[in-house]
Amino acid sequence: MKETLKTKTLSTDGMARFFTILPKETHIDFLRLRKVMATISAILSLIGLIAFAMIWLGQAKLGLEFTGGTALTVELNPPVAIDAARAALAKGGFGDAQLQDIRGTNQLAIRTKTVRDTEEEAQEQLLQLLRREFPDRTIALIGSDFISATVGRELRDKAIWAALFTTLGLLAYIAFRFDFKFGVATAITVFHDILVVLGIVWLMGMEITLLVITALLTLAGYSLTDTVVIFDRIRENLRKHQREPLMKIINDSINQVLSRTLMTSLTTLLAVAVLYLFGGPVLRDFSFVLILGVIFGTYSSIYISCPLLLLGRRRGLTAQVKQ
Amino acid sequence: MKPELFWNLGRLAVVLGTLIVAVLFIYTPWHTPETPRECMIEEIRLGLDLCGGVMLTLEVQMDPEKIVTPEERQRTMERVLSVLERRINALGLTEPQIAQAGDTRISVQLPGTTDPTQARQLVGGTALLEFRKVVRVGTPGETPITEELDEEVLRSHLCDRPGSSPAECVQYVVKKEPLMTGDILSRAEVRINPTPGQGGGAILVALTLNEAGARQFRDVILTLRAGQDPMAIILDRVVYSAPVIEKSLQDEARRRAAISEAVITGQFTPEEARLLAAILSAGALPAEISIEQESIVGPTLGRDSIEKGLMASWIAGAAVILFMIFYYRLSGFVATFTLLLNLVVLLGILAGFKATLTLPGIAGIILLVGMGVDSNVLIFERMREELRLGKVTRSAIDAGYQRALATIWDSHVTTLITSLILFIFGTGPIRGFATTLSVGVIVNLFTVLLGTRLIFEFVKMRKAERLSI
Repeated sequence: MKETLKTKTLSTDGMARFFTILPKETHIDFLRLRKVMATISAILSLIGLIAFAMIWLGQAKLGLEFTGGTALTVELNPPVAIDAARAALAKGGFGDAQLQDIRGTNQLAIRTKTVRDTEEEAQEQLLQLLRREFPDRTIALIGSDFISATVGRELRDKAIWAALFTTLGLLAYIAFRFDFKFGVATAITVFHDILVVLGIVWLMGMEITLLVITALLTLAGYSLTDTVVIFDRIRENLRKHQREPLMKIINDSINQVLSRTLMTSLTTLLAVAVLYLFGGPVLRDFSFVLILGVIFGTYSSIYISCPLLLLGRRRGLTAQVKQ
Repeated sequence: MKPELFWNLGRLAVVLGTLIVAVLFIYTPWHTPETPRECMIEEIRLGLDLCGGVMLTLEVQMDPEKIVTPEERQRTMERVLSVLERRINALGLTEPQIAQAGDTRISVQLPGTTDPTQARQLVGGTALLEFRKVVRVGTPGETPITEELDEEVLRSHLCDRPGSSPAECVQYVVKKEPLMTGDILSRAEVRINPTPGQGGGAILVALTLNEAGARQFRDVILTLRAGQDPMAIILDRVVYSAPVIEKSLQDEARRRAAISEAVITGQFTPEEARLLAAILSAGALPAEISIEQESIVGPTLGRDSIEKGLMASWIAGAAVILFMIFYYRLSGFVATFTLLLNLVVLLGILAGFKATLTLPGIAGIILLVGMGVDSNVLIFERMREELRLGKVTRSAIDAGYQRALATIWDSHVTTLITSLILFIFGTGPIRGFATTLSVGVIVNLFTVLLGTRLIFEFVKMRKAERLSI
């Protein structure tokens, strides 16, 4: 995309000069690539479906809040090699503990799904174990979380309910807002976005935490908006140019609102990218999911939702927008 | 006055009024100085994930045979709550929050503390106080055994003190049947032993017994052999001290009808004594409590989160503003004005409704910075399009506004659906995200419909020939 500055003389209003990242009028044939894109999206969605099944079966890397267990972050001064810490914990009966260095600090994140006889024990034992094994280090507790198996199950149920109600709520809105064919296309697009992002998250081995689920649900709402912008224009043009081929109308519509689609995505992307880079470790996965969401939400509003309108007979579309 | 001007002045008044109210909520000049400031940025309350502290979710274990009806359950919950409140308040923490969360759940938030042991002890024990006869005192490090059915072995509280070695641990063989239980107690407090010499200056927990308890205590003293039989003072199956009844006390018991005072000398640290007195004074819990969820955020982690969150907010805000001004020129300033108005009103509402700002809540604000300007983008792009079609400034502004409105509503309603559902199902920090997002979306709609509109209305009134967009 070349940066151009377009000037146009208007008879009534002097000069209207806009700074754009796109040429004033684009005529990109987006639909030409529809089969390639459909294939890519189908594969990505399939991965998403597999990820969904794995999560459902408990095979995915679920966050502590869903499985129950103990996590703590400690600061060791001077730092300890992660292998030494792992060996020390294994000696104390925490062989299942996962350890992770926190970049740029002397901090160590430890998590274990072992729930001991009493709730406080795992955390207390881990701390004492570290103090015993590394007596020459100062060990400070930065933070810790304990979640019982019961609460884990409850949070999992709550997350499922939240996902279900978000889906129902958005579907209800789509049904209220759109005619049948546009509505179905929008719904498919939203599901596509969630599945694709979920698939990528799963492939990357990212932990499915409450925050990740929250981000996924947030992006569902966002993805819908992107599609709405283009669909509104297609409906407008279907009414205006009833003789033109559907393919041309859709392509023109995408081109007409292209700068809008890109600009809204860019501003949001800018914000979530900053969050990813500067928001600290707690929000990193969350903002990563949102970044993916913005990218795929934009992609799908062009390459998924629009080609879906081509399926079936045109009359279904035009009849709907006529009233 | 022209109707157009009238409406615009009305809009201006609403926008300015909201702005002033919001700013007053954020910087309340008349705020009371006694409210603790640690967990606040101006008048905005921070969540425990930002200011540090201990958060607990407790489950009250009700015996299904004893507690049957919903009324009984609720009564038990209320008693548990009041006991916990008394215990926690006795510790003098700043703004502890205790609330029922669901049928049998209680949520406890202790800002400022990061010592989990204190919090756990506070809620952990039922505080069943017993006085029992000691059969045998084990030597330090020994684990005594008993074969009698009416006896059992209990540990001293010193055994579980952090840093104590097993070799120092004293265990006791005690009778299972208590001589007296905690219902005899009316008050417990921390004292320093005033007698000079051995034991002088030591920290004691003094028990004041009620009338019936004092009579009972006298009788118990008389059944024990002076100078020989130790009596264990046991709280939740842990021995705190096992004094031998002195001859002088027994003589006094013979002379009087009641003994209303007793002391526990347990080699306490001041914190231990304070905690023990708090637990004893608050009375026993009517049911067992288990910790279902615990989250500790140390002060460093909290501070780090605030710093990172604020920094990300500033950078995101600056980046989006610069981008908008770069791309839309003067109209970019309109978007900036909307954005700032948006943020101030959002923070004002958070402060006014005493909502809690969490780290995900800050993430929600940053997300709103990005999504909020989208409404302006939609309007601006439509205006550009209208201008390209050759419309004059006035009608381009009107058309841009009118045509973009439907899409703006769509984006706000969909985000609101998601965030309200997250608010209903979310807990803790996630709810903070849902709060800022849902409030922010509503505020954004307001600022776009009124704030942005207002500026363009004034542009229209100036009869501008050109629109810098």
